[in-house]
Amino acid sequence: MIPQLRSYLLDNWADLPVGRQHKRPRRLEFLVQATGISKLCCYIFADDEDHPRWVAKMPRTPRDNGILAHEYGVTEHLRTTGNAYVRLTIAAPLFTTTIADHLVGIEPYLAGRPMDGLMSTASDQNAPEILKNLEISIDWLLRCQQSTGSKAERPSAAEIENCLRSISFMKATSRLTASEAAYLDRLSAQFTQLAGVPLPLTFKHGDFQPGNILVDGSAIHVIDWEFGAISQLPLHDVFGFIARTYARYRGLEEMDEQLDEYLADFETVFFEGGSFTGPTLKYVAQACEALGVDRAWVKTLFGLFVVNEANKYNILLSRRAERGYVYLLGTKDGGEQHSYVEQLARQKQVHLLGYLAEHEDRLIFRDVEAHFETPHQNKHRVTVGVRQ
Amino acid sequence: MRAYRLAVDEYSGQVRFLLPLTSRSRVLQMRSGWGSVALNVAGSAASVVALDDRPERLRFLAARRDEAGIDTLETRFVRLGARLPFEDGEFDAVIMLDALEHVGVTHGVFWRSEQQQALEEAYRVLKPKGQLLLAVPNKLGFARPQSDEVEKLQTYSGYRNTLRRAGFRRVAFHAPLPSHREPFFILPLGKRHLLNHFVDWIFTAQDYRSKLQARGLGAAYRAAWGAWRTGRKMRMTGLAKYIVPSYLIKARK
Repeated sequence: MIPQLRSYLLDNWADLPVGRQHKRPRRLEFLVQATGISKLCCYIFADDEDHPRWVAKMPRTPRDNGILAHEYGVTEHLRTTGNAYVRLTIAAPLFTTTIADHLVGIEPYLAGRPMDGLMSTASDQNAPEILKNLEISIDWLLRCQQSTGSKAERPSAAEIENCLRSISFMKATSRLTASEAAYLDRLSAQFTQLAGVPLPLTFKHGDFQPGNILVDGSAIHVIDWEFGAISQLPLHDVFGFIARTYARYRGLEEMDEQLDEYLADFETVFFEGGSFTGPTLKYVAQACEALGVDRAWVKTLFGLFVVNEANKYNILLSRRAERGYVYLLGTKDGGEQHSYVEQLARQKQVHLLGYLAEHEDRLIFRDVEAHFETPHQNKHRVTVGVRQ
Repeated sequence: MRAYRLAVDEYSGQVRFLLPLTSRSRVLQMRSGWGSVALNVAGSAASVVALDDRPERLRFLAARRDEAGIDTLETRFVRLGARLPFEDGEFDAVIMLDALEHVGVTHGVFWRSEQQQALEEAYRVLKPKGQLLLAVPNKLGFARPQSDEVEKLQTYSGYRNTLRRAGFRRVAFHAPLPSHREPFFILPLGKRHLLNHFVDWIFTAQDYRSKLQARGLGAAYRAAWGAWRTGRKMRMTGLAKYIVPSYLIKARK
């Protein structure tokens, strides 16, 4: 794949958008980085230059071409409908092509450091480097949403149905407890009751977090629009950014590793006098004012945000399961950790094949429907989930 | 939490991006393990033959293949280090990931000559200009996976010489990081400017410190960072290729 990409670029240099601006290099080198579940990113170095000139983005498998195409569709829409600031801060591919059945986008290399790295030295969650970057990020978000969003109007019946789709999706795909089912019903009812209150729709990045913001002096770029969408409920990216910032400070490496605990404590931490309540209330209020969101919507929008995040996580697990991922469950000290099993087991469309056990080299596979055993004391469990 | 991806996921499958595979390619994987590479490659090649010497692994892989509805993947029970059951020049590419260091142990005794024979067999079954992709731990590797037994591993020069003895030419080394089992990054070795960029603008700029700390690798991160700064001062970063944890080696017939 990379050898073909190298040949394609060098052989067609004069006809490519990059070729009109830059002399054809003698050599191209590629530094590969996996990004997210579906994509691969290659930094492209020309000759012996110290920094890459371009970044090639491609799906990990051809069946994920649509994900990259969707990402580019969202950024193209925003750049078309937004103002100069939007175009300055949201990058677009210079061109796309297909190499060995993979969609490939060639983007300009954006200098700058990811915001999560800049925040990583913070001593506590209210440290200046966190608050400063929080300010920058929310400011960017609201400026861009103001530039591309709709005016506050009463949601139409179709918009209401669309917004409530996340609830019906969760009901359809998860095995819910009675209290969870009751919560979803209450949320639907709240939304319907508020339908007479105007609500603006905005774009949603969908994974708005410090790791997806590049900071270069006073300039910023927002990257990774895989989960982006147009005309969505407002405030979700505000909630998401604050939540991910807090999670990162607390050392939660990935949201999907601690989701249960994370969501259970959510309201306490962010809205009810917890350690991040101050910034949360400030930026939610700021967003409501900037976008024209009636405060009556906040609680309901937050509930839908939590549902969306849980759905996103379930979809992620389903996609991994569909690909036949094997989940190795165990803690560093040899203890067991059941969250993946529990998360997978609660999805209706995922069928757990069973358990594998013990050291990787000693795994014994007996039967698809059986559990797996070894003669040794089990230390780690491995679960295989496959979509039915 | 110990990462699930230590067992199987597509991170290891992405090593295939180094190869010039097409939808017409025929690929051999020597020691398939639990199938992450074989399944991944089978999705974009004409055919993949996955070999392993553990029947349970092959059954597991076959079950995953059937669940995924993939019809381009064949599994075979074969002991590596012996003659492979294929004609000369059958494959466009041979992949050995997490494989060579497991070759050569018979009744608890390690025979390095069998590693050499495995590479010679890979050479034999490759078409002219076909490519071998070999992912192996580095004997001198910093933060090398601990489960590997040192006597079965080789150094940068050792692997290069072994491959040349097997007949390969144009041997190119990459560093898969954090290891060949989790190649989240793949960095061409011998290009100092790429290494500098990686350390200065990717590894230390992104928040890997807290990620690695969460995985119990905080001390390794700090040691690596300290070693890098010292090496940079002393203009010795070119030596990094000798101490990376693992190698991803591309060798052409």
